[in-house]
Amino acid sequence: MTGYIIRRILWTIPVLWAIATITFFLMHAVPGGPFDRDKELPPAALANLEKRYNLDEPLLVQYGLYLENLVQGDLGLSFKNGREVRDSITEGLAVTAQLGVFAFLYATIVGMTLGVIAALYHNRLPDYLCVFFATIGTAMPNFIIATFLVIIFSVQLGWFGVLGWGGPRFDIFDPLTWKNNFDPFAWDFHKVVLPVVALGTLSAAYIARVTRASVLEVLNQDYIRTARAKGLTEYVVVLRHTIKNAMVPILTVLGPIFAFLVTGSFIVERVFAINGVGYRFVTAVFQRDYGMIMGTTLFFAAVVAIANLVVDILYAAVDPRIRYR
Amino acid sequence: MAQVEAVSGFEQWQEFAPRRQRGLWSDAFFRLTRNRFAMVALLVLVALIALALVGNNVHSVQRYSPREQNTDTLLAGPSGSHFFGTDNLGRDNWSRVLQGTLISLQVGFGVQAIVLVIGLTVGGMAALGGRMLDNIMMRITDIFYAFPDLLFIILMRAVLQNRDWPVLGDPVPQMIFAISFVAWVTIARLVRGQMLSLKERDFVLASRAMGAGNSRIVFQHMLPNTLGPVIVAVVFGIPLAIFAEAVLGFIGFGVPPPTASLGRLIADGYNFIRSDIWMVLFPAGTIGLLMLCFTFLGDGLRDALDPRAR
Repeated sequence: MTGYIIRRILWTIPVLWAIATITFFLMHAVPGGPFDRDKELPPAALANLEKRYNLDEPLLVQYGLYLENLVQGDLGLSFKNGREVRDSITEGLAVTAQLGVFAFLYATIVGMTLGVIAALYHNRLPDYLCVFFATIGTAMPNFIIATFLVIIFSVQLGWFGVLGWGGPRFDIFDPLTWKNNFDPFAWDFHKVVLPVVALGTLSAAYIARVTRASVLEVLNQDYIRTARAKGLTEYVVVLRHTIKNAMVPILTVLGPIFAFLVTGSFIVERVFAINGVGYRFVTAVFQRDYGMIMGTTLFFAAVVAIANLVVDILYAAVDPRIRYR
Repeated sequence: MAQVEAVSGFEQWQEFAPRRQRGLWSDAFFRLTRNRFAMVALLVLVALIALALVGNNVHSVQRYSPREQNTDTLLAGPSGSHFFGTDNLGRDNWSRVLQGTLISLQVGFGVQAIVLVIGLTVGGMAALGGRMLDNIMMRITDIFYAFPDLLFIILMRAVLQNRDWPVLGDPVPQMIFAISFVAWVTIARLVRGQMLSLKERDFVLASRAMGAGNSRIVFQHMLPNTLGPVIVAVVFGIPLAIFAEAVLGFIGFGVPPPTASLGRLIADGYNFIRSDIWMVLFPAGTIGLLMLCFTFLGDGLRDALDPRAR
């Protein structure tokens, strides 16, 4: 088991290296330089800028420098505002992580509840309703869901806001007092509900499908019949015997779902104008901000890689056959 | 559990017993026609495809040019003369949604055509080309698999933008290429898995014992048997490609204006969502309908082609 985990962890290193390399060369193949403006820069200023970002070196030397910095955990500077990419990502992550965690909670709670209800009422009305929700939810792209949510709940009913994120802000900095006015309790739930639902519904539908299948499978097992036969109440049978045993397949899909919620949030961030990592990535691609593109892509790749890693280890812990493959 | 399976297996056998003479494909087609959701989805899709093809070529259906601006009818609501209303430049939304639908369909089918070729080649080579080739191919697939899809598509699109290369110069082929670049992984893995398990099956052994050559075994026996799951994966891949194209259009990396793609129409409509809902409603509904229908069709095909998996 330990050997498998070590091998699996070591394998993420070449994967991340390959992704860093592919992104580096792809980005330098994007037509147009990062300092192209409508108004030409004076040649001396351009030369200085290129020197600062090592753009005057040959491509391979740039690549070497870039890898060297990367190994030391330095993602470099943004080409647009000269800030550390790492700081910008941390700032964005504060928002994206809140959004992701809430969407994850929403998806797990709603998805598992619906899945269990559907399985317990197999082939009756509640089951059909849940399956209907699951089908629509998995087939509808998240920005279409977001669009309809905004039309119904914001435009028509006026319940929720549509711009920005309602969580506590991390960037409120008062230059007079040199204090960070971060308030962890400053929640504005008018601006939280819609993005979370828009982002999490696809995952909720998926979890509902998996849960339904898994619970149905467990309900057919002999030990459930035994539990019923020995006179346990339905409540205990469902909670203690069924759900506990049905958790394994659900647990293993939660990893990729978490990765999907964090990396897939840029569409929702774009719709609701939330200044998270994804929003910054899209802006960076538009501005050809090489440093920022590289940083965000690697960050997202690392999230996906870690999620895959956790799932593989979970699988191996659950199913011993996998370790020896 | 085992009992339940045996009973349902018997029922199925009874249902199809008089039709045993049918081949695998007509059998599957028969099962597909019995699936109401899938048939409705198929009908809607055929109608949408026909509408998109006719609507972009026949003027009496299209009614207005998607580029024609008319300052007399800015932001008009849906009416008899403008079915889906007009946008902020007075362009007819009906013709623009039709244009966007055609682009979505082109991207959806185009991506899957390329993905099918790459996936079959890479998956087949990995499964049949020996251990070394298998390892190399699968490591490459692993790397692509770890890449966040949509981010990579956006990067590829940015790389391809503003090039005047022969085929890839046009925005639609560029988008098809950018999306296929990440989408082939699923098919490649699927084909490899199928081929590896088929290689060990008795009928392959039997055919080899009867003196069949390698190419005959691969093309006559193994390839047709991998096609079922591959077709299902391809149909499920179409809505994903349509989604990716819509996302590109939505964030501003799609076909350049004045051409209308559904994603761009939605993004434009967002500016007027408080006053003129229809600008966002119709393109959003069209994408939703397209994706829903392809998903239902995929579900139906999966049940039809592999009745055991139900």
